[in-house]
Amino acid sequence: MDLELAPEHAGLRAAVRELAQGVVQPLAAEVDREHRFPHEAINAAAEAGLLGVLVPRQYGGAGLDALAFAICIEELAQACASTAVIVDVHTSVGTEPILLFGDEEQKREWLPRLAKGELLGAFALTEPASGSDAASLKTTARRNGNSYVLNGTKVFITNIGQAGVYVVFARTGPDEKAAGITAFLVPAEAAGVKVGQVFQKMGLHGSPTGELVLEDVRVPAANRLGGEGQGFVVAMRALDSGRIGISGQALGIAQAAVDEARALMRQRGHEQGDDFTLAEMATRLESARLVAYHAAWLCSRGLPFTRQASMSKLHCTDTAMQVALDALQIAGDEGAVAGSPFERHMRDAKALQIYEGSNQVQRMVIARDLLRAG
Amino acid sequence: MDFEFTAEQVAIRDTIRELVQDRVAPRAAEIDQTAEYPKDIEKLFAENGILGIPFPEQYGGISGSSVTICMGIEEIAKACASSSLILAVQALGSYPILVAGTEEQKQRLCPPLASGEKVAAYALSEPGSGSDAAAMQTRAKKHGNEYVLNGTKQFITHGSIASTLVVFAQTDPGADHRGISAFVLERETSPWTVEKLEHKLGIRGSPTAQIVLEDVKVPASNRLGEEGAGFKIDTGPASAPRRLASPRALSTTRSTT
Repeated sequence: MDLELAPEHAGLRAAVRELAQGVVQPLAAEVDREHRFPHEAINAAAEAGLLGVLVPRQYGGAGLDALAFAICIEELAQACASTAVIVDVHTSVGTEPILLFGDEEQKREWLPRLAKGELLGAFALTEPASGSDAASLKTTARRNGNSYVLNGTKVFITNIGQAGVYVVFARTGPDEKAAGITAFLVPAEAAGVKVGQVFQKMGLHGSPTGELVLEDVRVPAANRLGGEGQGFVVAMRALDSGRIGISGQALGIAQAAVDEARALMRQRGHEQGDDFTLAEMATRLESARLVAYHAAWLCSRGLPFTRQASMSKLHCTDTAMQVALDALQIAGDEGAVAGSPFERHMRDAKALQIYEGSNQVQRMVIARDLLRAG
Repeated sequence: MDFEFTAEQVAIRDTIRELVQDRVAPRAAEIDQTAEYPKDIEKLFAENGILGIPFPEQYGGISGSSVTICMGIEEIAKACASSSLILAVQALGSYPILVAGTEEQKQRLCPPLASGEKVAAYALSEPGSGSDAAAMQTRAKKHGNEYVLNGTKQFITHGSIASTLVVFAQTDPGADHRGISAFVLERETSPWTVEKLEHKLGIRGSPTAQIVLEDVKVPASNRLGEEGAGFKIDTGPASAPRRLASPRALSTTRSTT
């Protein structure tokens, strides 16, 4: 057992931190206030190769592992949670399904552009009537000669309107549950792809979230990802890795909250009530980081990691929420003023407990795994 | 970063696990009920080299790392939290010697602890000083080539059954925590008195004693480190085994899942 980061991971952290603190962090307050997409931050991340962290070198990426990915997202989130979720969704659920389930032609067509950041990726699973119960989704894909025609509405889609390609899940078979679902790569410019309502959220203001409306969208059969009926497997596997990214995001927000509370206390003085809170915050964060890195390490090793990814997502995001609340409580009045980093972290943290499998779903996954026979 | 245990650690863990499930788990309820120190389990651990885990090989141990010690305590605590203290306190009571002892002290004091022939304990707390160790009242006065210790130590795990006791005492009462020194008491030559045993709500098979030191003579060669170095010994690396208490909590929960 060796908890020291390998030189390549430590070096990556230092490089991402420099970019995140130098370019991304100065934009964070404005991005939040103006509800605007952080183009400069995403461009800088793309130039630095951060949009292709998981993509193998032969497809133009950095070919790094899940731990490297978690570290990248953690460092970005410490600077700006909106930027982090854009990169996270692009990298994990937006790109990884192609890596894991795409054929050679699909990989060659899509991965280099995604890795360079010419295209942003997105993941369209949730529908108005199916959130946690993803298997009951209603969007259809009807085979028509050498193509499929998709119809339906997806909601709460991260990177809506900014993505160049959406991984869309639709029903191809008569089976009404998981076995009837198939995954497709749907280019944003395909006829019939529309952006519906874009939501005003309490946090992550720089990351657009909204409806993806598909009206008779025709995609070639070559855009089908995996076999017919394999879509649910694609989605679940993508979400397992996605949880590592969300964990990284939670760690970054929590670290920023701890650092800011600590700096404030050192600057203005402190009393024991706050000292204990700070100690608790730092302890929670430290333990959450170990759980997250363990899940990432298992994933990198190709070992089963579903339970640990869920534990990590649950523990890290609950930690981020609690630590952000604690930091705001320590900061007091000034932390509650709009525009303070304290209130922003608190608003940003909340979404993490809800998206990419709500924390209720994580508890279900963990319990199911614990209670499985054998 | 690598979360994998070494092959050696896995082997140690599996050995302890098997031994504990066979021999300790069946005794756990009785140990709790009777609140008696399980001398048989101590002997079992000694015979199987478990008490040697915290000691370097040259002193008769197996040079187990903190991770290995932590894992060992966890495995035992899964079956019986009281028994896990046999290893945990052996580590706690020996660390000051390993960290601050001279080569001569380590060679003399450690082998019988590593073999389990002797049991160690750690005496810091007093009736009037728990978390605030610097406020301790126990005094050590130097007379020629020895120190004379007087005072009362409170809540000393294994204070009643130990034969080697690391004691913290003031050698310079005006100097606050900088006046604290550490000593190793060997029971045959520096006997202490067990004043009372606590009745506890848990970990009942691990005796917690109040001990009294009344003109207890300790050779100067049993002082650990310099005079006044005691507080550093207590709060420095030697305190690590105390924090290793967490695997006990961990595994007590785990065994119920």
